Amino acid sequence: MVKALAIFLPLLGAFINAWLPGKSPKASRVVSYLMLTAGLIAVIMLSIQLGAWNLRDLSDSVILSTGVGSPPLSINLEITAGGTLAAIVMYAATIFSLHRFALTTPKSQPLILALLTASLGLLFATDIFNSFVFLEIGSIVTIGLTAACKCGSRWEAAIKAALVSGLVTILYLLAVAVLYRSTGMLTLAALGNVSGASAVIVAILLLTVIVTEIKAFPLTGWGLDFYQGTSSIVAGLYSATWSLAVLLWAAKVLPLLPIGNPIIYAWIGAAGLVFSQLAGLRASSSGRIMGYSTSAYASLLLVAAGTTTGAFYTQTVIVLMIFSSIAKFSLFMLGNPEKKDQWSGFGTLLFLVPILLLAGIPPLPIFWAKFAFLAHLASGFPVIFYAVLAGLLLEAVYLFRFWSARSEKTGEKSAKRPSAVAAVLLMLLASVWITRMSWGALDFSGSIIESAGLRNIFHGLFAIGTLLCLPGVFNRIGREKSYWFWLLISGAALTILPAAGNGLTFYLLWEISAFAAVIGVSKGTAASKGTFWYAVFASLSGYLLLGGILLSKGSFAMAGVPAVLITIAALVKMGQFGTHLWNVRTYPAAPGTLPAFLSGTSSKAAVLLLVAVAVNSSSASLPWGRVIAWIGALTALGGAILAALAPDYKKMLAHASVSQLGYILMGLGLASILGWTAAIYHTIHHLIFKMALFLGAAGVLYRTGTTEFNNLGGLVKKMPWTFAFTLISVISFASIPPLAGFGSKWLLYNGLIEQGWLPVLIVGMFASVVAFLYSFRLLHGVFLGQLSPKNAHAKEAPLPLLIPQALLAMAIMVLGFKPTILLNFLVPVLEKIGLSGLAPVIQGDMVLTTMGTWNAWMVGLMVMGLFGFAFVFYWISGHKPKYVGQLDIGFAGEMPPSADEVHYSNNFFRPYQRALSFLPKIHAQKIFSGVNKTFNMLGDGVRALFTGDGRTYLAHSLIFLLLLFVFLNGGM
Amino acid sequence: MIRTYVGLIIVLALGAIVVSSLSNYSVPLELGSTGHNYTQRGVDDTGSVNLVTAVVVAYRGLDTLGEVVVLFSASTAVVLILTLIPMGANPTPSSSIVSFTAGVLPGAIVLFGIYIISHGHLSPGGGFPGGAVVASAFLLIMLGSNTIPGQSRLLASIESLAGLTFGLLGFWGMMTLGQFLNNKVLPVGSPGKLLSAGIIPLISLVIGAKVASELSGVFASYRKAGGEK
Amino acid sequence: MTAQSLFYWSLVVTAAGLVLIGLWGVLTRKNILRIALAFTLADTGVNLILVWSGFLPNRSAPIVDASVTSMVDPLPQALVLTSIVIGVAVAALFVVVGVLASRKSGSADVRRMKELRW
Repeated sequence: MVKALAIFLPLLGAFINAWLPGKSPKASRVVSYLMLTAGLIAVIMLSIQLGAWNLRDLSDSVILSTGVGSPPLSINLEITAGGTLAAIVMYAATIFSLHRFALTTPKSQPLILALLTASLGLLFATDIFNSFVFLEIGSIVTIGLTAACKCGSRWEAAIKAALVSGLVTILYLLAVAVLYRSTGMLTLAALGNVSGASAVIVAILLLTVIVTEIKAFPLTGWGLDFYQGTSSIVAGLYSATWSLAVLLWAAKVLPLLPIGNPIIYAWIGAAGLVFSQLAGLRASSSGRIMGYSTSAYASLLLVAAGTTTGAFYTQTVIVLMIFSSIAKFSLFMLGNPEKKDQWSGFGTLLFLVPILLLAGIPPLPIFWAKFAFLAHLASGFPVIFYAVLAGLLLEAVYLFRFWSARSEKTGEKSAKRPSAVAAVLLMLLASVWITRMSWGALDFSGSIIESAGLRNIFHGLFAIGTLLCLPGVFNRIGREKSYWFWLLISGAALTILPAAGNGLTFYLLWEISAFAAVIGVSKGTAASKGTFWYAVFASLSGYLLLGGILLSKGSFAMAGVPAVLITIAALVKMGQFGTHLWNVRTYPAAPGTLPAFLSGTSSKAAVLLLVAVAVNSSSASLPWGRVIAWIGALTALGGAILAALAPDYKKMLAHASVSQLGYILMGLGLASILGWTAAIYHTIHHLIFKMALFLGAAGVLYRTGTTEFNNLGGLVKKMPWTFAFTLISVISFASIPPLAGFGSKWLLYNGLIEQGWLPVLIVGMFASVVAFLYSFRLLHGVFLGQLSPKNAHAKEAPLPLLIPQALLAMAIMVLGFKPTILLNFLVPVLEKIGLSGLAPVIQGDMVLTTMGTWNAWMVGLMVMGLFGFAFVFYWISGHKPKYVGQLDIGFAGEMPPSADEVHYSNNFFRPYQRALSFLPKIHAQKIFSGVNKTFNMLGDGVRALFTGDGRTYLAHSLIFLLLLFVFLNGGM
Repeated sequence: MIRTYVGLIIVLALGAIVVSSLSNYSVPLELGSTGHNYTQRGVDDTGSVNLVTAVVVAYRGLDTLGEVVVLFSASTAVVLILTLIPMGANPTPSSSIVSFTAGVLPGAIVLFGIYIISHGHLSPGGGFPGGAVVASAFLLIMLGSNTIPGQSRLLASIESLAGLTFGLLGFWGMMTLGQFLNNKVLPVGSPGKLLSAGIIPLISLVIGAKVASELSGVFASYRKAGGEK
Repeated sequence: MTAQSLFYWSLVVTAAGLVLIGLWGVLTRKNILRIALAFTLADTGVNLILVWSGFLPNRSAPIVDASVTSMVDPLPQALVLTSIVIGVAVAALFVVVGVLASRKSGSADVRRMKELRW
């Protein structure tokens, strides 16, 4: 009885409602809610009875038999465990959207309930003609709801849906006729009994119907137009009920089709995924973007049907389809493309969750399904694997762009959309649930880095880096919103990262850390662009990492392609060699202390990754170490030049950060013990000084509200402590003894000389010289010179920002005068790894290599002595400086258009810029815009298929049918 | 122009497929297993001598319920869409021939429709054709009248009640015999009699009422929307 | 060729012809109402094919009677009944949407309903 109630209660509601609404809208709504709630309870009871919540085994089912006798005479509905989960989603979506429909089109309630009935019926149907009846109900209701909705393009959307449903009807009934003539049965299972010429006919007809109905590429066109044209409420309900039902029905039918080798599905799906997502890059309307995303999931379904079987297939498909439906439902319910809704910060975040879900970011549920599925593909279907990976990355790009475009419209109005809020909460709950299921796959027992010493260094770095960022999180300015929570999550994930015992665990923590930081960045003022770039590059490095991990079957003992993929992932994360674009856009946009965290702490995750790849390889080295060292050297130089020319404090620090990370790469590329000592040493050093600098910048921004050099200068009088700490950091990273930076360079150059990599050495040294330029500009532009009148009221930075800086400055001093404290610990750890070359020998304060000796303590004392001498000399010389105003500069001839033009910080290094102008200008930005243009062109080429003429879509379907016929007859 | 050629090529190619698959097709001479079972067991199982009705209402009753929902959805959608747009003021006036006929014939048509509905399990016919016949009587009345039909509460009530009855009959079968829409919740009786075949006549009646009221509703909406502005 | 099998094949040829003509109309006609008509044509053809799928030579209608010994398959006829009603429902909705869409765009030409694309 429960079975029948679960499926047919909405139908009774629909019939009652056909009579009620004219009389009493309220009563009709009460009836709907009653029926829906009762049905939902029935479905939940069924799902518990079938053990669906365990998710591991979704094959259990109960039969609801109807009519007289048993199949093939009568019709059964098979209520599967996975289906009950989908049914719960459908019920919930209908309940949640009912009030929105009641507001716009109150008389549509019977249709909504009929749609739910059709969805449930199709979900559980086991008979091919019965499926047809439900398919028709679904199409009719969809067309009706679309035509009755209140939006501009409804007629067009309805007409196109009607045209396609007309063609589908014809093709489907032909398949039914051929099937019945051939087998004498109409059950879905009978599809397997068809043989010979009829098999081909049935297969091509039904496959065309399925691909059209699920809107997989190339038969996507009508779906795109439909999603774009219909109202967001209809689209939301549609994607959570009808679309879900059709997808799961297709998943049920596809394995039964008499098609020979099902791998053809996977090829259609994989090719379709790449092409449709290329076209998706060009979509701008939100409905259309959702359409492309639907197409992506439909293609994934085809790939799954072609490559997996049994319980794994069911599980993958159920999780992917259910959660993508929920995500689309909540996106549609949140965002009305017509009304240009505005959101508060909460709304923006709410909007991000479904996007992250669709993009498959851990720990949200789709991630688990995608991960297992991709792992399966990686082990047996390499080409399809790469295609799927590429398609998913493209999808992530446009989804994030969509989100950033929408969150630009962030206003102060809060998101009062209970349905969407509920959907998002449901999703988060589900993610907890599913994570619990998949928890066993996580491994913290061993670690990808066996050496406990190295691990502890990174644990410590991440923990300390996060902690030092935390005090300053409440010193926010302007419209910056609270980001501390996401900083904490990101930092916590990072801190656990070195303990990851397998690839999955590592990837999970890596992505959580990256995307928690993405959300954090989005809390900044006008941060949408920076967030977008960060999200895209984080996705890129994430997918590369995922690809590598999956290709090496989750272990870090790898070589060849996986190692190269992972290395590139790390390089992207570090912003090396052209990928610095994201650093330069993200750090200035990120709020408060977050840039310090990103640049100082989070970037070290990439170092950890490289270390992990190297220590697990047979020769304890990275693939193509020399190339990596070169990348590091060139990035160090390029970053330094760009930093010197940057017009903005934070931008300069971003370039400088990328440049400094290049030195770490040089050391790691060396694969000698000296190089690694330098690399790890510099990793620690970089964390310290970069955090100090960015925290200083946060203080300056907090007090002055700007980071442009044109508006800064002379702050030394207002912010002496910030200046002092910044000075210490600058001296250190300019590698001037006695501070810590000198040691890292000394070790690195020793290592380079030891290996005889002199060209790299020369480039690296030259980069260090350029670093002087920007370090001077940094000090001068912000703190020295004359005070800008705009900053006359600036005060010293608040203590929560100053104290961490003080600690960091102290660390620089300690590391500078007594580097042996660290080296005594580090060198023995590295010696055990099995690196080539000779280890530096430490005797007391002395560090000895084959090339020379470094006594930091002595050097420090001597430099301090010299400094003291110079200071005394300066003091007794009685020099009296003359103070002038910031813009107090004489000029003759042409009048500059604005006073800022004569600000000394304006185009500070123009002479160098001119001197270098003979060099060809290779802007990473230009390269990327070239890439962007190429992709746009490809996307335009693909989407030219979707002409907007409904008849063209019908022609697509028929041509697809003909091609299938040719292919199957040639291939079978 | 290019579309014509492409269309032609597609259709010709499809035609080639049809010809190629029919060319080596031999006509079967025996029923398939399902068909055979229906002809052997049909009367015993359902009590309906018209096996088509037995299949439609009893064996594949779920299809029929779905079909009723299809019609229901379409008529609801049509009415809904047409109420959302501005209506014509007056329908085009009908000729005197139509007006006269509309006064005479409907009674006979309805009677005929009811006959078809009630004898669905005995002879060709049943709820769908009968309902359509009854609806045609309403169509005739509408065409003959010069006023716009108002919202008919009666039609909506019949439609709703009929649908509800259909659904509840299904639940009845589920409750008593564990099979949704099972025919035997009422006695099968002796085949060939008017009151036999379990719930088949009842469902035929329900379907007839529903089809008639829904089609009439659609006609009425068309009539309202099609008038002169 | 016997009369029965002649009937059988003419059924197939008519049905297939109707479907193909309907599809041709759907693909090439511009007027939305003609497309609706073409769909109905194809639908009729498909219904004939459904009937054909249960048809056997030299058998009578599936109504049990003392005089009847062999019958054709009742199932396809039941399917056709359902399919016809569904066809009517779809056509009713299609026509309404088509008429209103052409009122909106000012003409019944589907080529003018191309605002949504790419």
